Amino acid sequence: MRAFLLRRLLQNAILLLFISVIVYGILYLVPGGPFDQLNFGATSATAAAAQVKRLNELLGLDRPLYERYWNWLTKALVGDWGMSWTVAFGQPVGRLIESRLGNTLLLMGLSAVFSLAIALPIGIISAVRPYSIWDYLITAFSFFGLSMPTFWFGVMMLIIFSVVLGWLPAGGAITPGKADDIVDRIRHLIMPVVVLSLVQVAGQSRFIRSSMLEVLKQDYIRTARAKGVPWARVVLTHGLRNAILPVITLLGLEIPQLFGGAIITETIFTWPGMGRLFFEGISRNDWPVVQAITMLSAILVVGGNLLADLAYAVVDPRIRYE
Amino acid sequence: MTVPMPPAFDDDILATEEVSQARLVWRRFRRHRLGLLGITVIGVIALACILAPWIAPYTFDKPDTSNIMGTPSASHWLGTDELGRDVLSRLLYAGRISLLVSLVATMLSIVIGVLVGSIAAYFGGALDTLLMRFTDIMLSLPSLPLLLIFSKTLRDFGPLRRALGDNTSVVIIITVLTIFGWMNVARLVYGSVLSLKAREFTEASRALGASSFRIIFTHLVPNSAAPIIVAMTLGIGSRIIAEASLSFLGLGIVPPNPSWGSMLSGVQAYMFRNPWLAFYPGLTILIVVLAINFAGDALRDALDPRLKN
Repeated sequence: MRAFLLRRLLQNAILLLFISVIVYGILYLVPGGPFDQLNFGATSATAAAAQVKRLNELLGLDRPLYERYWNWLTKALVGDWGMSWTVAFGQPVGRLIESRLGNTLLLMGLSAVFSLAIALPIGIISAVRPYSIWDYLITAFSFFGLSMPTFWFGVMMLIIFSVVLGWLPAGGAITPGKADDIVDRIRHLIMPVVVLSLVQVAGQSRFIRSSMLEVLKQDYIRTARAKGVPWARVVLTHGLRNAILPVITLLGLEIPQLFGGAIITETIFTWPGMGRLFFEGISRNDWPVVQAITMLSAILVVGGNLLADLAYAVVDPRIRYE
Repeated sequence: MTVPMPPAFDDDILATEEVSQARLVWRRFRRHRLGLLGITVIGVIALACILAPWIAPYTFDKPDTSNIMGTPSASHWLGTDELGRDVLSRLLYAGRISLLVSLVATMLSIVIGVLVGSIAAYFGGALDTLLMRFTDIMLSLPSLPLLLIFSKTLRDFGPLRRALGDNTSVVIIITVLTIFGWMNVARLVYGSVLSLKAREFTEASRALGASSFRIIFTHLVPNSAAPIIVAMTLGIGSRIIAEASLSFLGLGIVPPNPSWGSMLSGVQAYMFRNPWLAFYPGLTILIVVLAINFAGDALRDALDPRLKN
């Protein structure tokens, strides 16, 4: 177990290093530097060019790429992600992210819980009564969910519930001056969580259905029935405990999708999280912000996969990592 | 005295009707009503988009300044947008771009995936480790952030824009969707070729002196066609959504070309005045992707009944 953990940690460290090189390279290989498109209100092209040159020198962008990458890496390893360029000029990226991280984790965490809480029962119902009217309805729903462009679903929710009906706030995480109002917080959370959950529910319920169908065919299920265990208990204890195993891996693999969804959802609902910060960084050429958030999301992804593997070993005693 | 002749041996009793594989597949496909509905819908919409220059009532960029954000009427069936352009015409033209982008990106992904998967599985050893580890790494990347980074930086890359002009955004989005889209096919083909290369017909082919290249591309890959075709069908749908998401965020298709996603970008600014502007492009995407998914599902059952879950 310890050897397995060490090997995985080492592999993940190499993977993260690889990602950091790729992202850094892509961001900074654009000739002319990130400020090429700006002109700082300068009146002439030469004045603008001089400004850009001065800015590039100030930020060390005139140094060779490998030297800058090394600088960035050694600082990032001790938690210094550099300074923001445009989104919040001169502020440390670490502090920017800190102020947003909680909101994003809240959104992602609630969506993960919410989607599983829905997908689990409907997946089980589909599997227990396959080809029944409920199964067909749930299948139809998951087809819709998987075919729905998330962002459009978000915009439609916004139009219906904020613009037309006026039931829910159109964006943000809190109403100014109501920071302690829990009802207000929940009202702000409803639409982003629902939008972020939709695709997950659709995928997960299909997955749970087929996993459960597979398990219910096993001999031990028939044995339990033959012993006279009530059907509901067979399904919920004997069946579910085995059917849930692959779902744990699925949850780990879904983290990238969840973070991608968070970028879109946070942008639509102006949710003050990391996803929106990332999008602002991209739109405004703020490479230190973009680089830091990409690395954080990569850490989230490899960490999630590792956790899923470890959780698998905990809940399934048959699994042993050598 | 006439001896009754034994009845002529009737060939039809024993001989089964000779059916080609394509016919069998089509027979199984036909049983799926939703699958049939799916390909019909895709066919009609694709045809309408291809014929857009001849059947669209207006061109995609012709503004009608007297009729801005008009509601549906006899002259503009789906109304007009914030510049007074006909929404229906724009939807048809946008479909050309959206369908082209997803189709080409899917094809390219399949080509790369088939190459990587089949070569890794057939040759094995260090090449296998190298290619499939790389595939695993690509699969474990946070893809949307990287898609956005690639789209943004490639767009700011001057020489590319000078070389491609108005088509820059189309080429860029096809490129990034391909870079991050081939891994699933690679894994699929890898698994399939790995089991096929141990079979007798591969052995026979090798004994007859066929080259590795020939074995891979005339025996192993064609025998893996069923899952590839299904992945391709479903892949087109997911790429339509990916293109739309990027364009919605302003990092996909940019004007003057409209795509279904780019018609929605910036729509939040107008949703108070004319919510219908946001409705039609998204509904079109939903209908097309739903139709593709139904068709793909039916195709999966038709091509390989064993895959049915």
